[in-house]
Amino acid sequence: MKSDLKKPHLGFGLGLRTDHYQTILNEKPKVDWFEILTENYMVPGGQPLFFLDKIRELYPMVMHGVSLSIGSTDPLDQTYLSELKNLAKRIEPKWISDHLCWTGIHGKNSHDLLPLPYTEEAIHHIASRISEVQDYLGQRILIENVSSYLTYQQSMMTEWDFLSEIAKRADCLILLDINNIYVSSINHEFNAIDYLKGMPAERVYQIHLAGHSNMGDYIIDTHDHDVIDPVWDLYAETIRLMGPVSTMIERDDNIPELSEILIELNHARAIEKSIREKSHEKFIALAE
Amino acid sequence: MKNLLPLQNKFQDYLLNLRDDFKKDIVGTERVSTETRLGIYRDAYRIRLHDALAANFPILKIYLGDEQFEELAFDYLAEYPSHFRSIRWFGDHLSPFLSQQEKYKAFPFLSELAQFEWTQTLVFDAKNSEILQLEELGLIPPESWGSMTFELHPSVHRLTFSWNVPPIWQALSDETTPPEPIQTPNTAWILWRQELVTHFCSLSEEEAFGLDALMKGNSFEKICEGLCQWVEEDQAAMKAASLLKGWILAGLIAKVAWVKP
Ligand SMILES: [Fe+2]
Repeated sequence: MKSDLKKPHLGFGLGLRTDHYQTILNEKPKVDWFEILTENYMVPGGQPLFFLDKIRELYPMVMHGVSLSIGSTDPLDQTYLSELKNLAKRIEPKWISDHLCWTGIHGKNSHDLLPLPYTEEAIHHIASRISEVQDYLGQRILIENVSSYLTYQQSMMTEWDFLSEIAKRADCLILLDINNIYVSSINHEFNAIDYLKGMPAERVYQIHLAGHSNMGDYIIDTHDHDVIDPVWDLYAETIRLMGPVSTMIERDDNIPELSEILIELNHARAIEKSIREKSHEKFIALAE
Repeated sequence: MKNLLPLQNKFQDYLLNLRDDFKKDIVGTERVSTETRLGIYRDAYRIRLHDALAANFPILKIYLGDEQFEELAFDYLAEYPSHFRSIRWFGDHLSPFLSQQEKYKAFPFLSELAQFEWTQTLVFDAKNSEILQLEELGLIPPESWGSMTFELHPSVHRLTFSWNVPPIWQALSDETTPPEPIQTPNTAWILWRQELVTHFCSLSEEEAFGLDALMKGNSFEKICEGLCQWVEEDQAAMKAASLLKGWILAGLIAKVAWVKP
């Protein structure tokens, strides 16, 4: 697959949640796009697909999965891939993403995004599987960094080197979850800025922002709170380093009214705008 | 996969079976021990699957109470870890599990309550289909009526309960006091979806017979014959026609086929 890294900017989106279906259809809120949880729509029919089609008529969408299990040592699940392709045919998403993780082996699914050892063996294994998926789907996919709570003795490199190397070898794209970087930076005591600087900016097509639960000594990625200030700061730094990227907020639990999340989304818009203006001013000053 | 496979084996064995020889593969830190780190995954796994079960069986959870339901969820998880791509399907065995486990055998209505709720999830996202309109029958010449066979809407499910499960379910769902579980003679129920709304109702013996016969692909003529167990022979066709009309109006029937005269 040939690289064409001129990235589209979709603007500011939200994760589509059932709680908001009716409000979205009634009020047609100012959201540039929605991200759907792929597996929720891998059903025969009924309400989920009904609302999906209705909302798709109004908004562009991207697909975000949790069961690709790209890092598993089980063979790729061909039934899953064909269902993925069928759903993509139905909604024509701007792109498809899943996580840099494994979810189970021997046919079992923990339904969790389990961490991988950062080794050459894993890079080789995962990059070749991403290539296989991309060939099957006929498009590049985005791979997202997950929050993690443990490090393996086996690991030989940083997470950002691991992710960049996989992206390069598989020629895939990246969904950068800023909250996950923050969570992992606390849990594993690394500098989040080093992570950002280690990312191949041209491959970062999408950003996730979310809230989490602080347990004192460690942080759990729960998606049940507002985005916190250090994560907003990290987001600003990301935009400074990489330029504008399609950005969205994930909220999976303790879900507030849509209007409340829209306020958060506007905050992201404002951050991006101010950074664009600042760099524009700098450029003008330089040109004079 | 010299190192990756054994590592994933150990991790999964830890999550599912609490095997702890996995600890030495993890780096602990001064602030957070390996035990705590592993515990986060173990807890998250159990909570997530518990919550998925609670989402599929909300009324069973109310009936049992949070504590009992949690115990049930963890018992079930130990026996039937998920092998599904989507967590939505987790819980498919809960009803048979309840009827087989010693611990729950003394409460046989629980298994039926679980079956009722699980079936509702199947109705909820069953395949869409067109439904047969009454007018379409007008296009069939009367000589062919006997040969008519039908296809049901994909959301239709036929259940038989020996306990008063639907009234218990309904009361709890309306947040009122449920009736005591009582054993009833076997009663036929159907669940189905019309537009996006799930319906259920009980069937009389003859209606259950007719619908079951129709589901098996029997012709209208055969159904009429069978109904003679309940009505006089000269009344059978009328009875069958009136049942059929009811099913069509309820949106239970997707298609009709018949043999040209
Ligand atoms: Fe995320």
